[in-house]
Amino acid sequence: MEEQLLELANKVAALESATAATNKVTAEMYYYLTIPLMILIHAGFLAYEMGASRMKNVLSSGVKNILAFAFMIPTFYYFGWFVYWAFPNGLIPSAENWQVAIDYANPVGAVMGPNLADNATGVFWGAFTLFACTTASIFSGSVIERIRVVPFTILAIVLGSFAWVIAAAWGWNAGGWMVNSLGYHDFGAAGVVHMIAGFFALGVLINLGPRIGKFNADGTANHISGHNMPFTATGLMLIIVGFWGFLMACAIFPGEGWSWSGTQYASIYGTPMTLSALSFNILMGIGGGIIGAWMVTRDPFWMMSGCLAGIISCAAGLDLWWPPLAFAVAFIGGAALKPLANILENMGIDDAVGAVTVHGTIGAWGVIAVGIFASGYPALSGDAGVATISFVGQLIGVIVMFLIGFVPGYGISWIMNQLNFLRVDEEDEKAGLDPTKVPAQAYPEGIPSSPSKN
Amino acid sequence: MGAPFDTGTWNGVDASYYTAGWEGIWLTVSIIMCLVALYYGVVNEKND
Repeated sequence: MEEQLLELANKVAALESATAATNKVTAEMYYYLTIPLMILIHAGFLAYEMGASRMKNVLSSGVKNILAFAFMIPTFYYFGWFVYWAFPNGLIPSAENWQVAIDYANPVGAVMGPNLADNATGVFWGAFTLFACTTASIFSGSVIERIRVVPFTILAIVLGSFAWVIAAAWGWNAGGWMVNSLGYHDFGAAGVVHMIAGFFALGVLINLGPRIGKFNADGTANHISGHNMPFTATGLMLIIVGFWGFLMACAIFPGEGWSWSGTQYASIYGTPMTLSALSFNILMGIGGGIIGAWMVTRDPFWMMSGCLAGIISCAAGLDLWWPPLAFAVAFIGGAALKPLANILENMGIDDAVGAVTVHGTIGAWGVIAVGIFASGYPALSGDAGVATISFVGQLIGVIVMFLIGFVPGYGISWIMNQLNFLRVDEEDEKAGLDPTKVPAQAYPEGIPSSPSKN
Repeated sequence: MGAPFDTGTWNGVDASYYTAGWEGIWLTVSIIMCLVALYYGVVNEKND
């Protein structure tokens, strides 16, 4: 009898060990797989921006996008990851948070490399690095065809390895002051990624100025067509695929020592959620955004931008929406997209791909929508008394996110402009950035133009 | 609209947690939005 009990105990121990190993491997694989999916976002932006460029600038736009991706990786390793852990309380880190950052994100620390006692840090760092790359990609499209590569790269580093990370430390972190004080809720980073990137771009665009020929002397705008709309539309669809990886990475896998729960997926804030809810609401957001944009524009470029706008409209509350409500929120975002873009253009801002509107303005709508339709939910896990989601909290969040994005974008680009460092020379812009800046030809045999309806 | 529970905590929430009572309204709104979009699609095709 005692031998049988011992044997049984050994079997149970072996099963528990196997189960724990399976959960660990599955959890790490979950985040590992989000990384190549998020690289698809970058592939999509690459296609999008190159398609939106005129032929004479196509490769220079590509170079810019690829270089931003490349520089995000080491800079997020050197200091971006550290900023996330060190600054949740504000701009002056507490001693406690500084130590947490030293433990988790020290670029010369033991966990920031191969370590058999730590299977998780690299996959988390990788997922966050791709979030950083996404912000740089969002920014890069708006400034095509006239920005210099190196100042663009410096700006992208500030955005991707500092600005959005501050926003995430404050509003996409269970210890963040915005979450604890305001009940700020932003499940899918509509504010901390999209608003930051969109309004950073706005700050730069004000100083960069429009492309030559964009505006007439009387202020009216000319449409500058990209050379390959199918490429742009396909790029946008790739972004949508990659977005699934982004939103997947916003969920916290259960059952690990770093998990919020033993059995339930959770948001970054520790509030419970399900992939079922994400599936319902992301798809409804896609449908609503496309349909809303189609209704207003019938233009495939704006329809696919509407798709993105739909997801961004829903992103902040993807864990909370009733699916038809997600559709409605996305529909409004998609329908409002072109009119909002026109308002920006009428203000003299030349945003080549609509990044400020799609990500900045629609991101703000997404954050506000949570305050309108989902106020009252607890913003954190734990007993009664935690902060709850509110309209005022979300509104303050919008203001904070706008400032974190706009101020560094405007300030640094203003300095670069004063140094005559920001924009390419006029003769190079007129001749094209490919023949003047890139040692390669996109279409050595040329491509024939296609007949247009107009 | 708003949270369907007023306990101020997620503790004990173990079933549906969307905004109780508004499901039918948002379902109707979303269907109307689709129909409005299709209507404008027909109008625009006729005017092309």
